[in-house]
Amino acid sequence: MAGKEPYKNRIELLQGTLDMLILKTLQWGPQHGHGISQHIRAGSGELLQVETGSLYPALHRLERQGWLASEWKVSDKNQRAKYYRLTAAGKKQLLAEESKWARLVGAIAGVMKPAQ
Amino acid sequence: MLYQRLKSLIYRTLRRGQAGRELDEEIRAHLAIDQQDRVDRGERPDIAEQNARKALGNELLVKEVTRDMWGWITVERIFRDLAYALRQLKRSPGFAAVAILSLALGIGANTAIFSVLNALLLRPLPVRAPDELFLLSQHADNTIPQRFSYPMFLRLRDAGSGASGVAAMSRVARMQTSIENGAETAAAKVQLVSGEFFGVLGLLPPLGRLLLPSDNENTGAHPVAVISHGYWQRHFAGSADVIGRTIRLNGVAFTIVGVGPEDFRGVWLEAPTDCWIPLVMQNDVHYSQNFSSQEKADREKPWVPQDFIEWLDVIVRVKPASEAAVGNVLNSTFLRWQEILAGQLDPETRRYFLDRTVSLDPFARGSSNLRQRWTSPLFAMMAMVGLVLAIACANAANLLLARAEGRRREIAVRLSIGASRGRLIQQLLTESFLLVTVAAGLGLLLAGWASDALVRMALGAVTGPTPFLTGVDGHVLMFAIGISVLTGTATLEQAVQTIAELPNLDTLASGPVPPFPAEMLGSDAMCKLLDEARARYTHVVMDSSPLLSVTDSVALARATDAVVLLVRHGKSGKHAIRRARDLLLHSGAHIGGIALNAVEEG
Repeated sequence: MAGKEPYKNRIELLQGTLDMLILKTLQWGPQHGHGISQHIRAGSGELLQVETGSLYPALHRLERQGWLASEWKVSDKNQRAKYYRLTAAGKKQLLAEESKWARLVGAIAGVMKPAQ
Repeated sequence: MLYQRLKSLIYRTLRRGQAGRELDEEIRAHLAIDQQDRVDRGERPDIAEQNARKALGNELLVKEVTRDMWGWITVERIFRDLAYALRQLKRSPGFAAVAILSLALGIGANTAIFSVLNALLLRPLPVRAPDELFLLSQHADNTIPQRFSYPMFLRLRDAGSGASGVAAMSRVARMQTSIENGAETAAAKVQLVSGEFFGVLGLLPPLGRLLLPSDNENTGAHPVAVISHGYWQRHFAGSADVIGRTIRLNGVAFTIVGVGPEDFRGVWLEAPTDCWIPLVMQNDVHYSQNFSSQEKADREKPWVPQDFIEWLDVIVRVKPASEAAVGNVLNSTFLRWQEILAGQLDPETRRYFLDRTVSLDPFARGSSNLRQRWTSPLFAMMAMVGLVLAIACANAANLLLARAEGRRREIAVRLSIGASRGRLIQQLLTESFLLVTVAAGLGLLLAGWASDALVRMALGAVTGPTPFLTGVDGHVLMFAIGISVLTGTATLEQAVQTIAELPNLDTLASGPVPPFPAEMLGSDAMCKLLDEARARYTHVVMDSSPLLSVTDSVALARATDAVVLLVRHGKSGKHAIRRARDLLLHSGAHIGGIALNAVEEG
């Protein structure tokens, strides 16, 4: 099987972080679903794999919440695809999630490595 | 093929509409992009396509969970489930009929009894703020409680008790009635009321006006009447020109001045009132019932000015929480005047006259002679029919369970092509919900008829509208449906659970052998099923029929990644195996190997 993937080297996505990762990815410009998942995968050094069954529900949910907008465009490889982009509300949300994330990371680090 | 595609296109257009098509396209684009990516990385195009599909996972499931995000999908889904449930029920009409009938009987009986119970014991009068209404009732240690005379009513009304309003009324009497211009002569139920009556109840007329204090001033001088909404509909066909027309009551002509509110049928539950006239008309219509009089009274003369004919009930509207204060003032006024009046009586009668006190009793539900007598029998019957419903539910549940057993295969198939358990349960629930809804509809009809019959029977064949029932009660209906749904659900849950015996192995049974198996195995639907299975499972193992005796397996072999040829030791000859191999290779199948079975030890 050519496409056998090294599952054991993967990390489970933390609950609730997928939204943030999607928003962050789209900060660099509009992207379609496949592109978003590839970006997350590449950006995480192949560690984070977003399942399609999680990605598309998340995209549609975020769009419903008004954080994303979408339109159909033709890619550079001449394939029609639905591109998502951040809305103003989405940018705000990303900022909020980022600061929440930073605080969480700091808090966990503090517990794991108490100051000497 | 074209037809198939067209059909599926129409299906999708109708079922899912724009958004659904867009999602299909989005997923298709995802697959195409992924495939292209893989090809760019050096994968063979056909392998790339397979891998892209594999990476996507179960396409149907992906779409389903995505559609869940849309919110409105639940509505569409409920409709789909309903249509499906309807088909299922149509497929087994016998089962549906038995289940529906038994539930309908149970629901109907419960609703009927509760309707009576509710009307008699629970439901307030359809008037403004019924909880502020009280009946001024008399209490006596040695005599039976009495009513009030008209002069006493006036004294109580004007006592300055702080009540929002005080009104007096007679009992409901049957009177010979004829309507001007019509030859019709029939009995109507008439109540004599003081001018404050409708004001105290806080009612508004849909047509004309209701009786006012000015309609009740001079004895015999106010021949005006208000008719009930029901009477208006029955005898005047609801015509607007009823105002000003004449109605004869016991021979006396009254002018109709107004129509009562639609749902108001009087304050006596078992005597729905047709007509209200002023108290001062008592002598003219020869009202002469439910009274008590002393020797000083003259029953033949008008009762209104007389102190010693007691024939009225008094109702009082009080402001919230002021009933005790109002009751005290009324009681002391009453006692003071009883003492004055008692002076005119002989000592024996005087004793009874002074024996009485008054107090306020809640009047929110109106008056009823039956209430006391019917309360415990009604509750006993309620318990009984509740039991009947429980039995009906158990019955329906048994039927559902028996059927669920027969549907295990259907459920297994649906589970294996990606339906979630919750989704299945939801659908089965829809089915029992549908069952119960139909049953409830039938039960409702039944309940209307049964509660009517019950009241008529108990009161002894009443003509005209049934007293105090105003249709089936919604509360009990909801209660009965709730029980039925719960029972249905419990059994369905069990039906789904029986599948999950081996957590990591799902089986898909073939069902009865079709007449042309090869055709079925080579069909588009089969390919689709295999695609789904491929995407969902690590390994898909198919057990097919013997290669050389029938052609089915060859058709299937083409669709598989590898064929394992099962050879029975000592039974299958070299020739047969060679022919089988050639057949498979010829059809383009990839033979993964040969397994020898039934080898004896040693």
